[in-house]
Amino acid sequence: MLGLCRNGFGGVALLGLMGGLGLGAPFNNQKILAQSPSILPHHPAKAKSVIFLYMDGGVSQVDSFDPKPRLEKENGEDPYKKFKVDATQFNNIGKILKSPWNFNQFGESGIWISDLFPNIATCVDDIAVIRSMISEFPEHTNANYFLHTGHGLQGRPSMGAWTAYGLGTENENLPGYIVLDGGLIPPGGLDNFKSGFLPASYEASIFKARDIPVANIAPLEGSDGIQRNKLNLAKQMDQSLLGRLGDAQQIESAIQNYELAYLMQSSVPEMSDMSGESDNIKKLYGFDSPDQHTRGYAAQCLMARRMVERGVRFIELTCPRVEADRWDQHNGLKDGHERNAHAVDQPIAALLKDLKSRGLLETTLVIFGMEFGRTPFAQGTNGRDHNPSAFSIWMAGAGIKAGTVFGTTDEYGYRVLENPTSIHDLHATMLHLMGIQHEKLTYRFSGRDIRLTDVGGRIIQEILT
Amino acid sequence: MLRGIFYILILLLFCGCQRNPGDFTLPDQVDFNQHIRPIISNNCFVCHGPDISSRKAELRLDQEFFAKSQSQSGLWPIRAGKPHRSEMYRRIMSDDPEQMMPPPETNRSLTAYEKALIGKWIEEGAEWKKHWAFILPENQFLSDNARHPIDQIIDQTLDRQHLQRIPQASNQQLIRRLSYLIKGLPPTEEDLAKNVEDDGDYEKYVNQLLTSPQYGERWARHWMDLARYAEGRGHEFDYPVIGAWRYRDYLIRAFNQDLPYDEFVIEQLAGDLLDTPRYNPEEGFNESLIGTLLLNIGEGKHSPVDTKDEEKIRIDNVIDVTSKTFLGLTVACARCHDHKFDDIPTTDYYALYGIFESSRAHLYPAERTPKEYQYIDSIQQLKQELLAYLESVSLTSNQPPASFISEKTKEIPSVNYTVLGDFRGENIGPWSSDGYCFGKKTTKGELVVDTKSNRAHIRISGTASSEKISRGLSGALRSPTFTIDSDYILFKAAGNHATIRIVPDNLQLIQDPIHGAFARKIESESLIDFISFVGQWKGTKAYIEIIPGNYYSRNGKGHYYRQNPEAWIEVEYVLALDSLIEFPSGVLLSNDKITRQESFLQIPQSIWNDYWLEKNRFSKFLQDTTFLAGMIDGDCIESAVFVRGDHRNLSEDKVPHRFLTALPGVGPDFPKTGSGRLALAKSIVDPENPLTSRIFVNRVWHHLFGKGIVTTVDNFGLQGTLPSHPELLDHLAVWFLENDWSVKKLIRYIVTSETFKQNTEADPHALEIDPENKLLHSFPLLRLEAEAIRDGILTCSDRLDLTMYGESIPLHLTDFLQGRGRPSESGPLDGAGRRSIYQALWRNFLPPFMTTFDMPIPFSTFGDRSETNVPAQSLTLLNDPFIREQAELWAKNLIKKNQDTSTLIESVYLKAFSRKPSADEIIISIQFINDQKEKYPQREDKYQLAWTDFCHSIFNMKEFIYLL
Repeated sequence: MLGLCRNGFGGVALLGLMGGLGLGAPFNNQKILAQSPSILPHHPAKAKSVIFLYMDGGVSQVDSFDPKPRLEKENGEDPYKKFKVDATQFNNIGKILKSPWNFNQFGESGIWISDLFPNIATCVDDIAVIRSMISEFPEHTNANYFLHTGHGLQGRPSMGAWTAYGLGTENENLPGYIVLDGGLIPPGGLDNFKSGFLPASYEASIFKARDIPVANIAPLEGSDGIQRNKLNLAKQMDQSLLGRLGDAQQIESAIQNYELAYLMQSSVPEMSDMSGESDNIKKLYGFDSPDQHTRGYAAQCLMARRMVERGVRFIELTCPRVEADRWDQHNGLKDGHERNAHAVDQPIAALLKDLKSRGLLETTLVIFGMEFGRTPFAQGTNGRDHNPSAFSIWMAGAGIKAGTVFGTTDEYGYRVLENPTSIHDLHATMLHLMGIQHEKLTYRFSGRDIRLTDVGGRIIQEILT
Repeated sequence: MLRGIFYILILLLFCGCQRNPGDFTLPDQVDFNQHIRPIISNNCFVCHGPDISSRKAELRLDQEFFAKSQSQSGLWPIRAGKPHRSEMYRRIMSDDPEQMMPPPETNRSLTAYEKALIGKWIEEGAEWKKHWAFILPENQFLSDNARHPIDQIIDQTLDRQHLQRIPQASNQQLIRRLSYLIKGLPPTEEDLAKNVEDDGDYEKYVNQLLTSPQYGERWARHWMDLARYAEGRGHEFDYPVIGAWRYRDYLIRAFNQDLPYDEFVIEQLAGDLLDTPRYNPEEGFNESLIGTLLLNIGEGKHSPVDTKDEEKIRIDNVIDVTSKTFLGLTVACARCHDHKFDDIPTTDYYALYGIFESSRAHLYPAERTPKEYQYIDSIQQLKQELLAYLESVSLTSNQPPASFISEKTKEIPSVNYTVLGDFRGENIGPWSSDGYCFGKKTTKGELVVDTKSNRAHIRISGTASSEKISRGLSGALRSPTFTIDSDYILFKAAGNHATIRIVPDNLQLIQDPIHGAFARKIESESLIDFISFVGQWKGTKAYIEIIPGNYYSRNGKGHYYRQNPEAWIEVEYVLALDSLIEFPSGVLLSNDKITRQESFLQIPQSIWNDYWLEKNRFSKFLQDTTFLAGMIDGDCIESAVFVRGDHRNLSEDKVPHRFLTALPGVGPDFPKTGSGRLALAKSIVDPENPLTSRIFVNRVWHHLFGKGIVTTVDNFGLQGTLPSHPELLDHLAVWFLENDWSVKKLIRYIVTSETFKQNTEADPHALEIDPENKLLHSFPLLRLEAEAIRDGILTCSDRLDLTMYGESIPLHLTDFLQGRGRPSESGPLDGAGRRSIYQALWRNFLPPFMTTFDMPIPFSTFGDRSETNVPAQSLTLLNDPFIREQAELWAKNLIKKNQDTSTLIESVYLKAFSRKPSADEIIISIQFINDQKEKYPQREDKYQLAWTDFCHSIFNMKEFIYLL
């Protein structure tokens, strides 16, 4: 007689099964086990979670966080007479172009921010601006891969995958690495979020900010009981198989996996169900905005907070699909940047305030970043082309010295003058705040111990508390 | 007690290290390759290895000569026989942080066991050996008894540990194992009725599987993991790789017809360079050419701001893929510096770089067969006859072309210009005419006919023309490689639906932004000037390509290619110039113009009709409409070394084309023209090359046992693992060569061993001693690959459509699959029931089912897929509509049979698990179906719903996705 196990699903404690590895770690795989990093974290983490606000296409630094009065003075003049001009993506180089927006100082820190971000400006004392970011690629796809994976080509693990690999997840019932798709998957596609040569278990789950947020999470059956019966049958047969085989750890793990999957079917929809949030909170984020893209991004930001509360390790938000393309304003800078800024400004400020009021900002690292900046001269007459030689990002939250500005660009905001900060530096700093020494988080592939920061990476101590 | 000692021995044998200090026994004889090299490679080579740039204290331990030479300070790093006079030993034994090696800051340290090993090795004379994989394999197996040599070798290692083999697997287990591993599908009921416990029947079944067409599909897919196969170029818009699926079909046919592996390798590197290419026996097209797609299906970027950088990335990928795939070496590690571990200097890398840089992409007509050459000949023949007739009645002119004269001034232009191509004479050279349409000669001496008036003349000044033989025929006219050094390039050209491209740094995805001027559409009935401004690209290496076709967008995706049947192009000359002052008002050959006017002849109607009708009849057979993106040779370009990988920082000396210096092969005798790919391919398959055969037999072993004899199947260098059974690896490598590189024979040879036939149920005692089953005391438990799981599901539901070959089935798109380059149409949920290998693989849109079950991302060679176990897999099998749909289909098919429940359950078990259910399983299943019916009280189709639920549950049972 077969041993009948009618435990059912849902009541099995899984803690401890996942070890130090990511959600659904491939613990039956000796190859991977042998490679799992040494006991992590390397040092106490300041950040439990990261929210990466990805500004697809490249926000113009000279129109947002890096004011350049000289552009105003020399508006319309020939850039070739001013400085050496690099080849650009479109190579349609126009005149020096002043910013269409005014800059003002905000908060006690007096950080300059343009009119593009009136709401973020109210949080200025919580953020640290880095004005001296540099990238290595003037094309979107490569720059995106570089920003996300520390390497300019397809196939490397993304930063979220590295953290899942290194730290696992706080909540076994949810993925450790989630991308909240706002409507725009960046150039380079889903490979920006994949696990590369790391096992597939570390890749991002692509979520939408809505009821059924991810593929295959909703049971097809009309009632829970129907699915339960099916699972029980499978489990019963599996257990009997296990009995026949004796020691078969792979099978055992695969069985346990089903219990986890079963739990995820309810924990994921619970997380994405925002009906219980108060009207005040929703209003703060912009759920009542007349701009549908603001409403959409508000839902992403609120869901990000809910993910942080539930222990999701790494969350990336992609941009909404506004009418004027993403931040990539090769022409129509004013209109395009305004539309994009309007969509994200209020929700981001709300997210920072909401996290702060709940005490979560202390343990959450929020990064506002992009693949590169834009040229101080026009593309054509009213656009700006790609500029990997200087751009501005900001960070807030866990371990960040709020109210700081780091790095300087030249008088045009074209190139970095002081404290050039690479993508590897950004990654090293991010990992550091999560308790990981970036040189030690490695995975052997192709005979090399590869890391997110390749052979670079300096922790930006100047912006840390 | 005895077991305790065994345990220690085993630890030593397997770990090569011992974590518990003091608790170890050293081997009787320390072996350099097995014991010492892994220690020093892992711990010392970063600073004391082949790479000079990171070398410390001018000490290298990777080569015997240096490791055993007295240093300038008088110390001996290694003094044979005298560990205590060896500085290396002294340093590793030191605990002084200033002295100890490896230094504390490296975070590396040697275990006591490793230190003791090194000590004993030096004491025994510090015998040095070449890295094991660089020593030619020798078949040391001499026994002539009847037992299978594989089993004899496995027995030896088992005996050493006093382990017993596990008994043979059951009849049905073996049938299922063979069926899945050889053809990737579950066995049929008919197969299951066989008795393969009989050796004769076993072999018959193996042969049946090896001759089934599905065998090729299974093994082609394995190869596609190595080839980073995809149908799009990724990057931003995932532009198509033209004819990629033909490479997939090529692989299937190659495995099915058991193409010898050496030929298979040669074709993929140099199938375009063979004197006697292989033609498809049924359809007649050239198979060998298709192989070269391997070199041209990588990622590709459009509008790179730095074309040289983009070329560097593409070639790096080709070097990475080919060196890992064929040689199991990570040559790409030597791009910026000498390899840190293996004997691969950076000059080796740039020798290969030059080979691939000298190769150009070429669109081959996919379906042209040699049979059609006769039509080309026939047309030529007709023309000759007509010409002969005309010459008998008229004058011909043989005036040489004059120099270029400005129409405006009637003088030789005063501005500087360089002639890049001049086709007014008889020959096309030094340009290359690739393909069929241009031929080697210009149109000089050709007949020009005005079809309205039946008047004709013989051209006394030539052009390069794509319609000399017939419109519709494909081909390309390409210039030698040159460096752009002018502001303008002028083409005197005419044509229709045709294109001229300036190809910078072998970039194929030429388009706006940036490169718009590099691609010109040619639409003009008469010869006119087409001028491209190229001033901003001065210094860029390029060639010019003239083609009778167009690149175009299909469903919003650019870079498809088509050739209109009426397309043609003709070019008179190509000039590089720095000023347009005297151009384009007219540079021409004055006397040509005059002659054209005067030399018209009247052709008799009857002769003309014959010619015209015949030509049209033949031309019909010469239409090329389908293409594939293979490779062709360009000029021989030798590359400089990119200092630290920087293409803007070049070494003075260029590296001649050659094979890896550490390996035998063709040696320095690479040709000085063209790419040298054929010489490279021949070096790789040279029987004196110690790697190629080993790498491949290990791959086959890996696919049959789930794990290679060398587990790092793509890396046989120092950073790879040591073989678990070196004698076995060598035996198979030699055997494979002796058996004419026959893959089918190799598979048959391996699966007919007892080792392959063992049960999976391991003996607990053996597991304790050898928990990873390195010794193969039982058959490993294998999870099926993504493709096999999906194909198995389709088999159960009888939805499987075994149609072979052809364009891929589009991916079924869901809301969650978004991004640039998204395919314009969604495919059917069930992929039209076709095998997984026929599902479209766009780089930026890979099928989620496949990647969830560990299909690798196609960016580099993956010989060893991960085998993960994640909730996403469970969620897919539980909730993916495709799985549910197939369960429903299966249930419907069952109900139609109108049989009693237990018979149906039996058929379900046979299909899903290749076995009959036990009595208990029948009882439980019946009970489930009865219970489940009650869950749908309101539904008329509750019986079918219950069966659907049952079938769906079956897909979710582990026995379905594991090979027992």
